[in-house]
Amino acid sequence: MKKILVIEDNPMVIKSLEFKLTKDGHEVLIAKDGREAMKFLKEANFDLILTDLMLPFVTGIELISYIKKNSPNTPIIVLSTSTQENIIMDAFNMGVDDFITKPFSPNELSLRVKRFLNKA
Amino acid sequence: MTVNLEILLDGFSNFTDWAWILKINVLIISFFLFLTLCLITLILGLRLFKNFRNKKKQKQENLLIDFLNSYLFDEDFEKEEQIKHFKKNHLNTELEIKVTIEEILQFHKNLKGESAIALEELFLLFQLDVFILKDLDKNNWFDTAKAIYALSELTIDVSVDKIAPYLNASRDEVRQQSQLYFLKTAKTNPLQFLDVTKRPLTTWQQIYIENALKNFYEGPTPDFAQWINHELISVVEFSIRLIARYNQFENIPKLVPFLKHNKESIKIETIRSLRKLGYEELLDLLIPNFEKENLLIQKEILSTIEQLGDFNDLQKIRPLIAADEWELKIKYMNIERFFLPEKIEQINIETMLEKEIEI
Amino acid sequence: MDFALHKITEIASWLFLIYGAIICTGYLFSALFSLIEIRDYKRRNNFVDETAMLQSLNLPAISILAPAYNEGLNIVENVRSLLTINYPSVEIVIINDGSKDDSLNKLIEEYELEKRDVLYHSFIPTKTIRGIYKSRNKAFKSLTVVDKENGGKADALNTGINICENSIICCIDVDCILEHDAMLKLIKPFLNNEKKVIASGGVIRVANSCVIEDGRIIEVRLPKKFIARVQVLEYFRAFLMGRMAWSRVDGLLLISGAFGMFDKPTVIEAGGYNTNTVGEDMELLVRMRRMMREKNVQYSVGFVPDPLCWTEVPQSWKVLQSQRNRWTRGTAETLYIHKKMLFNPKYKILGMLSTPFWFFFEWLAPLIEFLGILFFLFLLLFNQINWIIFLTFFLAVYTFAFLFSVTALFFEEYSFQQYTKPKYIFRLLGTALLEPLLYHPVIMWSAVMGNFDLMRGKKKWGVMTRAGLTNPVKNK
Repeated sequence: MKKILVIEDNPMVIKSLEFKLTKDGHEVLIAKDGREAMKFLKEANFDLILTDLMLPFVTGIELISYIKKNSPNTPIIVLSTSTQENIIMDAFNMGVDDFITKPFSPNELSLRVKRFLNKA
Repeated sequence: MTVNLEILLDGFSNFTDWAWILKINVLIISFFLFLTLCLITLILGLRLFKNFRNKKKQKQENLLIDFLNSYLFDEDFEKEEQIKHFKKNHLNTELEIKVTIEEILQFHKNLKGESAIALEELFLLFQLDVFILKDLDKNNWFDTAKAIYALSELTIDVSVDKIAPYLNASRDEVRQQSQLYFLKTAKTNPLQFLDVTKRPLTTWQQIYIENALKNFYEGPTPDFAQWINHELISVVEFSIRLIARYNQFENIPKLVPFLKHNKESIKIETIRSLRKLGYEELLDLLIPNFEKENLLIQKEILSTIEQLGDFNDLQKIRPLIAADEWELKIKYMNIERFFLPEKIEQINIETMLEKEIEI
Repeated sequence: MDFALHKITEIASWLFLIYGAIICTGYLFSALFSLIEIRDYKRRNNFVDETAMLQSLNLPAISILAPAYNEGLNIVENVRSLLTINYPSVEIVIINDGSKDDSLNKLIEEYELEKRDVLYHSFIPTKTIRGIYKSRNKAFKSLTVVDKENGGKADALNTGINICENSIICCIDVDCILEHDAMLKLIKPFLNNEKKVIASGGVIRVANSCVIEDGRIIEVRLPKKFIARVQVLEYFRAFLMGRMAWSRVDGLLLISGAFGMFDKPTVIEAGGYNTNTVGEDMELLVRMRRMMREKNVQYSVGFVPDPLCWTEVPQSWKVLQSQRNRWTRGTAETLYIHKKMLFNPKYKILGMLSTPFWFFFEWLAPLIEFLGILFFLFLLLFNQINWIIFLTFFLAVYTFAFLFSVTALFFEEYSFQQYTKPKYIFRLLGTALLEPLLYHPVIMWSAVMGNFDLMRGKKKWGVMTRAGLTNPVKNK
C-alpha cells in the first residue's frame, strides 16, 4: 500500500482528500501546516507528497526544497489556489511533478496520483 | 459618617437644589445598574445560546461531511435510500436545513468536475431549492443576497424576473450577487447585465466577475469591445482590461483611439492593454507625446518601453525627463540597468552623482 | 464665604452633570452604531470568497513596512511569520532603525541577505541609509531589509515609504502578530472604490498570555496579570465601540500605528510621517484627511471590524505610565498642529464632531478629573464635604464606568467571542469592577503628567523594554 502525505490547511479539502485517497486504497497522512509536515517528513518516507503552497509556519517553497534535497525521488504534486504564472513556473523550476489549481476535480486528482505512484 | 438623611436635608433647606441633585444622581445610578444587570444577563444568555447552537451545528456538519464524501466517492453508497433517510431524519429544523445548504455550497466551492455536478443534483434531490426561493422574496437584504448566491453557485435556473429587479439594488451585496447570477447561468453573452448597470463597478465586483467568467461560464467568450463606450467609466476601464486579458487582438484598432481619451484612467488602461497585446506601433504613438503627458502616463510609457522597446527608444526619452522628476528618473535608471546589465555599476555611480548635485 | 463656596459647588455639580450627560449620549450613540456596524460586517463577510481574491490579477500588491529597533530577541520569528502571510503579492520591508543590538546580523544570517544596489529617491527626507539588503535564497525574495541611522519610528517608516515598490503600504509594529487572513481583510475597503480610499485599519487585540508559536497565535488566553487584563477591557471599549462608531459616521481620526494600511501616493503627497511628534500615527491620518478635504476630493477611510492583529501590552506600571504619557503628548501635539480644524465647518464631521470630541473628552477629560480631585481635596480641607452627595457622584461615575465595560464585553460576546472559556467572562467582570479604583487613577495621572511634560518640552519616546513575549508555549 502506498503512503501519501497531504499538506493542507483547509479542513473541508482535508476530509475529502482523505476519504477519496483512502477509498483508492492508499495510506494517507495529513499535516495541517508546514511545521507538522516537516516533522512527518523527518520521521518517515512517503511514496507521494500532495501539498499546498501557502501554509502557516513554513513556506511551500521551503518545504519543496527540503523534500527535493532529502528524498529527490518522491513525486510532488502541488494543490494550490495560486493561478499566477510566475508562481507555477517557480514550482516547476524547483522540480515539482504536477500543479493542480483549486477548485479541483477529485477524480482528476485521483487519476494523477495513481499515475505518479505507478511510475515509481 | 452616621449622617441621617433627614438632618442633612434639613440642614440644606436653604439649598433645595441639593436634594434635586441627590435625586438625579440616585436615579442615574439605578438606571445604570439596571442596564448593567440586563447586559450581564444578555452576555451569559448569549454565551449559553451560542454554545448550544454550535454543538447542534457541529453535529449536523459532521453528519453532512460523512454523507457528502460517501455520496461523492463511495461506489457502494446506495444513493436513493440514503437520501430518503437523510431527508426524513436530518432535514427538519431550520438550523439543519441552513447548515446543509452551507455545507453543500462549501463543498461545491472547493471541488469541480463530476463532483460539482453531483452536488448540484443532490441539492435538488433534497429539495433545498424550495427553501431558497422562499428566502429570495424576504424583505431582508441578507437573505435575498444569500439566496441569489446559492442559486448562482449551483446554477439553478429561475425565471429572469425574479432576479432582474435586483441588478441595480442599493445594497452592494444584492446587486453583486444578482450580476453574478446572470453571469454564471448564462449560456451566451455573460456580461449582458452591463448594459443595464447604472452604478460604478468597483474593483471588488470586478474581481468576482472575472473569477466567475473564468471558472463558471462555459459559453463563447464575448467581444468585450461592446462596452467600451458605456456611460460608466469603471465599465469602460473594465472592458479595456478584459480585451487584453483574453487576448482579443482583433479589437486593437478599436482601442487605439482611446489613447487620446480625455480621462486619464482610461488612457492608462488602454496603454496597459495595448502593451499586453504587444501592439507594435504603440511606442510610435506614445513617444512623440511624452512631454505633454502627466506623470502617471509617462510612467506607463516607460513601462511600455521596457516591455516592447529597446535601448534606443529609451535614449529618445532621456532628454525629456525633468531634472527634479525623481520618480521618473528612478524608473528610467532601473530600465536602463535592465537593458544594459553590464553597465549596472556605471549607472549606479551616475545616479549617485546626480543626487549629490541636487543636494 | 460659606455661601460662595456652596454656590461654586453647585455650579461645579451642574457642569459635571452636563459633561457626564454628553459622555452618556456619546456612549449610547457609539453603542448603537457599533452594534449596527458589527452586524452588517458579519453579514457582509458571508460573501467573501478567498479563492477568488487570491487568484485575481486585480488584487493590488502590498508593501509591508516594519520598523525595528533592538528587536533582536524575536525578530527572526516575526519576519518568518510575515513571510508566510496569506496574500499573493507582498513585499516585506524591515527597516533597521540603527539598532544597537544584533538584529541586523541575525537577519542577514537567517535569511541569507546580501547588500544590493537599489536605486531610490528620498521623496520624504530621512536619516541616512547605510545599506539595502535582499536575499540570495529564492524562498525569501519578497524580503528587503534596510539598515539606516537611528531616527525614530516615524523616520524609519518614511524610509520604508521611499524605498518600497508598491502603491499600497501596510505599516506595522514588527512584533505584532497578524491573523493569517489579515491582509485579505484589510485590503477590502480599498477594493470598494466608488470613492478613493486613503487608509484602512482594523481591531487590535492583546496578545499577553496567549500561546504563541513561530509567530502565530495558537490559543487565545486571558492575561494573567491584572494590569494586562484591564488593557483587554480598554481595547474592547476603544475598538469595539469607539472606532467602530467613528468609522460609521466617517469621523475616524486614528488608525493604530500597530497595524494600518495606506495609499502611498496620498501619504507622500501629505508629506509622510511627522518626525516631530510622538503621536505620528494619529497625526498622519488627520493630516491626510485634512489634505483631501482641502483639495475637495471625495474619499473614504475604511475600518474593518475584525480582529486582525495581536500586540504585546505593557505589563509593568512603569512602562504603562510611560506609554500613556506618550499617548497624551501625541494627542495634544496632533490637536495643536491641526487646531484650525476645531469647530470649523469647512472640515465637516472632522471639524464639527471628531476633533472637538477628541479635544474635550479624550484630551481634556483627565485634566478635568484631576481638577475635580483637587477641588474635592480643597473642600475636604475646609470640611465642606457633604459625604452623601459626594458618594452619589462617585457611585454615578463608578456605575457608568462599569456599564461601559460591560457593554464592550457584550459586543465582544456578540461579535467575536475570542475568549472562549466561561471563567474568562467572570474574570473580566471582576476586572471591570476593580478598574475604576486601581487602574484608572494611574492612567489619569500619566495623562496629567504627559501634559505637564509636554509643556516642559519633553520629546522622547521613553523606554519600552521588550520582555520578549514571555508567553506559554504549548507542549509539543
